[in-house]
Amino acid sequence: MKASELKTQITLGWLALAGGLLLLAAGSLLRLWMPGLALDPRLIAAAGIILFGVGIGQLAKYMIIKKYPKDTRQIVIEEQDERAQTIRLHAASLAFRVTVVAAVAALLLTVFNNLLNPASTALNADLLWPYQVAMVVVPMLAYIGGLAWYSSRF
Amino acid sequence: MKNHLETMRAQKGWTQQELADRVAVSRQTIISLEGGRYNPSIQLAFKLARLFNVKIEDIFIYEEEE
Repeated sequence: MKASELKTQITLGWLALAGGLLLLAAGSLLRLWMPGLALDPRLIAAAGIILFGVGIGQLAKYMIIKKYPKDTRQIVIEEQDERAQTIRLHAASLAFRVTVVAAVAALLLTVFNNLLNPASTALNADLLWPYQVAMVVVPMLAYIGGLAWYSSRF
Repeated sequence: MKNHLETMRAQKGWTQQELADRVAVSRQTIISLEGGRYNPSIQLAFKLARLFNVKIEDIFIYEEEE
């Protein structure tokens, strides 16, 4: 990684950290001083906490790279390796297709069930929660399986 | 895609890891390239060609799919 790129990434980390702190402070102060706001100030504070976390992560990553350039070079190469990126992209594409199929299946199930039996709902409250969990877990499994499958192919 | 990468690397006396370090990819990528399982990006193909001081066609053999 070039020194200028490293410097830019560290600056971005500091900016995210400072921005996060500002948002957190703004959210907290707005909650104290202007309690009747239409927008809940806790949302601003939450965005600040997330931005602060992103900044910390960014700084930790690139400061370690700066401090141990030889050791981290291999890690960066592994991370940016084009074959590894190709494998990740293929696995992500597979997981996306699984998500789309699952979503369309749920819609079709609901629509046809409503047409055939308007009194009942196909995805009722009992089924909706497990289905939503499956919508997260199954694509994740497809992604992991895709990584293994494409690693053996490429 | 077939290629002469393994032969050319052997002529230079480099290990797969040494070649990987020179073109900034993982050793696994070199293994897959040599095995013909992975086709490199145009950028990596140019890097390899320049490293061996040859043309891309001298390393990689393009065969039209039927």
